[in-house]
Amino acid sequence: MKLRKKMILIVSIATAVSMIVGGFVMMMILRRSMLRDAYSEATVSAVDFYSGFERRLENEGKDDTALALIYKNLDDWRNVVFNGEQEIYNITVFSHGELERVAYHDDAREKDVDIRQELNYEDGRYIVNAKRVGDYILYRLYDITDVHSRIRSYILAYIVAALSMILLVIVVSFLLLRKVLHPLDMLTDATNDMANGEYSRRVEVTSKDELGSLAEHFNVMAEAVEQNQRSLQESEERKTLMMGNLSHELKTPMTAIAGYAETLLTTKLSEEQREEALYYIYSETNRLGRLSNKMMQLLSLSEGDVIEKKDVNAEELFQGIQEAVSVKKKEHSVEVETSFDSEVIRTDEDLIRDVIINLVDNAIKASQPGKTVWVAWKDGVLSVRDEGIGIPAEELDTITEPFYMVDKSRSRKEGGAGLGLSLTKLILEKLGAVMKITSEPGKGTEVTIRGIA
Amino acid sequence: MIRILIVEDEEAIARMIAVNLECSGYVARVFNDGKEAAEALASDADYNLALLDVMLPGMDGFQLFDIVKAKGIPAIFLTAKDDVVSKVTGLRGGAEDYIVKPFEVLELMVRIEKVLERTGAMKKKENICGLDVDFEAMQVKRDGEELHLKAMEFKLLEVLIRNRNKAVSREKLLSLVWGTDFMGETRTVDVHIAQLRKKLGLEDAIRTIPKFGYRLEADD
Repeated sequence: MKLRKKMILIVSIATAVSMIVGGFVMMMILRRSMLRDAYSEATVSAVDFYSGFERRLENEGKDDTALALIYKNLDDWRNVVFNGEQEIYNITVFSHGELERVAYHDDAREKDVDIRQELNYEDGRYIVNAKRVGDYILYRLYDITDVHSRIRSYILAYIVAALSMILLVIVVSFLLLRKVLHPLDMLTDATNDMANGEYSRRVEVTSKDELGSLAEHFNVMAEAVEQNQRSLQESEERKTLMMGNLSHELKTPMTAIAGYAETLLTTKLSEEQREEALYYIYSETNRLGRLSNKMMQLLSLSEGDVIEKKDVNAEELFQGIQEAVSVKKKEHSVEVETSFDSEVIRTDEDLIRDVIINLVDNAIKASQPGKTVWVAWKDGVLSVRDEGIGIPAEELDTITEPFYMVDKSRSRKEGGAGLGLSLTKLILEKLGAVMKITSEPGKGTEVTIRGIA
Repeated sequence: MIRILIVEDEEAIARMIAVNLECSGYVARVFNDGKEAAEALASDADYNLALLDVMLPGMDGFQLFDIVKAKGIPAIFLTAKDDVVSKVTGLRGGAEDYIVKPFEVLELMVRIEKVLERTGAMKKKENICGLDVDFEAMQVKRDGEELHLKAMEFKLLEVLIRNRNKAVSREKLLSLVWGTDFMGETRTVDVHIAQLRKKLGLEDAIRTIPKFGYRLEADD
């Protein structure tokens, strides 16, 4: 059941209960007071009769019969005279026995009206007052039919009023609750939208009550969810892109390998052609191997162990780098010059070696024969500079994406897979370092790295 | 002589296609760079078909395709991009076909044949192993004397000639000759091959490749 319905139900039940209880008490009081009034009136009218009868009895003498006394002018259908043995005057429908049973002798007004008995005849209801005068017992009937019917009509009117009150309460609470619970509806809509993937959804905060603060907290939560979702999505997109690129990079060597194998299997080839086919299968397989190694490195780095920084001898480090790139620089006829201004660098030797070799490798590939690549460690900043082809400004942001190459065919011929810079970036992130690339097409590129130590 | 232009930046793949084409009697010319290919086309555009990679240095495959199309050369795209967009771009631009890497060599050869057949560049007659084969008339003659072949036998001979020096598996022969819907057994192929060998005297020229299929060997 909806909250609004529940609350309306609760309010209406509460109203109904209080109306019933309050109405009952009120009606009891009203009834009692009305009856009391009726009784006192009955007593008053009875006293008239009694005193008249008494007076006459004294004045007219005892000779006259009671009946005659009555006839003189106390002749009234409500009056009954009984002399102890028989009814002298009774034109009511009730017998003396009945009258005696219900009659009350006490004219005290305070007497509890509820226990007084009534006589019924058809629709009429009567109370009976009685008094002993001399040898006689006088009864006086008093019609309270009207009182009862008035009470009934009051009760009826009250029920009608109560019902309309409950109805009114329902309507009013419905309207009020709609206003009060409006933020809840908005929250429900917003959560639904968010569940359907609309993470940018927010709730307008209007009230300052608990619902308002709930809405505020909801917005805070939505913000967190959206941010989380966005970063998840971004990393997912990066992964998808990387996987797409990877499969693209895999397809080319696979096509060549499968194609040559198929050719060897099916086609009659000359010895020379066979050798060529085998050479390509071999070299493309190597390419796959390199690609897989780089991928493994990338993955293991992504998972992230904590690295340990040690004191690294700068001279040894740079010498090692010179050796590592010696073949490449001969191939391209490019010189590599290294310089450093401190004997010791505190960092992870293997990782920083990978980074520098990678950057120098790139620099050599980008350089024309006869040019020089400078590697320098100065004032805690590592820089690798070349005078090569440079990187277009619009591509500077994307070159650290996995598999990115500025000039695809050129890089492939060099045996690259386009993973170098993304690896470098990951390694530097691990070391807590920042890489900055400045480049001008045609003039050269400089990569500076701060914070490796 | 059927000349085919190959523009593919991957040396390995370009050479592989070229070797296969040459073995089947085509003349192949390879370029690894889009721009170089475009420049060469300016002076020599006598090609029956162009195989174009989409991702090319110098000039991309679609740009190069405009030049190729202007010269009236039909083109097949070789692409590693299997996304729909580039396929649609290629075909809407009027390319004959596209083939996604990695591809089977035989499949590429079959598609090349199909395009050449459509454009009418395919040789209508072939002189091979001392036989004069007329593909249009479906006639085979040895020394001017006609040798009678059943329709399926002729089609089988045609496939073997088109893929000369190349082994074709029984399954592939079955689908190429009898069609992909044909539910026959590879045994059918063996029976027809036996008939061809006997009728045409090709016992040595049609070689059985164990556990695979058959190859028609011919020196051009």
